[in-house]
Amino acid sequence: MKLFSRLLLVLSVATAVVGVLKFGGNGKSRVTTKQGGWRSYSPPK
Amino acid sequence: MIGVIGAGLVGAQVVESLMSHGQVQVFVNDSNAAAASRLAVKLSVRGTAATTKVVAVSATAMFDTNVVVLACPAPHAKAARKLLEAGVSVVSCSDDLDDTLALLDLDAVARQARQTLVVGAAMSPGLSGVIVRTIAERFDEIDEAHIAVHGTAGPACAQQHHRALAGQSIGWHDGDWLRRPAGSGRELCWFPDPVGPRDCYRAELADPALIHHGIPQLLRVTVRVSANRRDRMTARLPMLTPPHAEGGVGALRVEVRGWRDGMRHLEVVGIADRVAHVAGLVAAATARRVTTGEFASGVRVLGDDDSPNEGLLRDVIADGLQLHEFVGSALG
Repeated sequence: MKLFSRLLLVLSVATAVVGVLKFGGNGKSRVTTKQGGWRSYSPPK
Repeated sequence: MIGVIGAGLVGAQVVESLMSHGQVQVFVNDSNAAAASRLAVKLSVRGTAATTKVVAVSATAMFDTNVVVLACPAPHAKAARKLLEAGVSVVSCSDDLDDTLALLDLDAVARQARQTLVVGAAMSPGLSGVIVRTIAERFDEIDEAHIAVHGTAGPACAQQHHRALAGQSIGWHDGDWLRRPAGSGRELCWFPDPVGPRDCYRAELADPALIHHGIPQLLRVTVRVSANRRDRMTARLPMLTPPHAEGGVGALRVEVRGWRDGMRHLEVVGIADRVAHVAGLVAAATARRVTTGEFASGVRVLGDDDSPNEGLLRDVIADGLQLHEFVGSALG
């Protein structure tokens, strides 16, 4: 039973780490429009 | 007459672009003869003009052309030398560092044959150099160019991307070549939509060598390529899974720094499009301008003083490429 609970603990910690690594950097609200943006560019003639 | 060696994604785009600009006959060759024949059949049917013809030919038939576009996997140096010696101008799409350095060494061969060898006529290198030269018009003086690339064209390009992350990157830094391990130097680069922000790393790519060759007044030239954790962890291993048939939407970001009105100034221009599409348009536009004699003989890189950079950029924009510039900042 003790082994099982330890295994469960290890699995949950590993899942949390993988989750943070996978989705941690995907927030889109961190960049505001004040930080600039792309607009069409036409080279000078 | 123009020949294309390589019937992959880039080669197909080159042929398609040449045909859409009224090229009457295009020769196609590939190490896989069936692929060349398939491309010839597919594009001959699609051609609008009754006289337009795409012909799958053997490699020796390329010696009967005026210009050959090398859109096959690297190395290109050996084929380019043979073609130049036979009196055929060459446009190379190679982005392999060693290969492009070998191509630059063919200047004497090209001059002796009175032919042109354009090195690195693709998206990066190629369009990157043209954009640096074009943005330079907005400055009094430029001294830095920093390139970032996202995405790949076909499977050969994906393999090159994989190799590039395992090698040694070079960058031009205050008059000397700075060598660093590929995969180091993480930088968050913001590409035009829909690509957006990507972590980019140093890689063994040809841009610094070619941009420095074409615009020697630059003091610093770097290139970075986007990569994820798996790309970096497995870079020194053989590719674990076969590459995609096409890498999807890629992007190019060109940042130029310099002086304007006595102050430091920075401009960022980028594109987001299929890499094979961009590379094919640039190579085809270059080949057309080689045939019309707008490139002098010898080795040329896009972005150098003697290349028709403005015309090339106009061509690719007319073909549907959309350039974007980054404006505004938190500090502004």
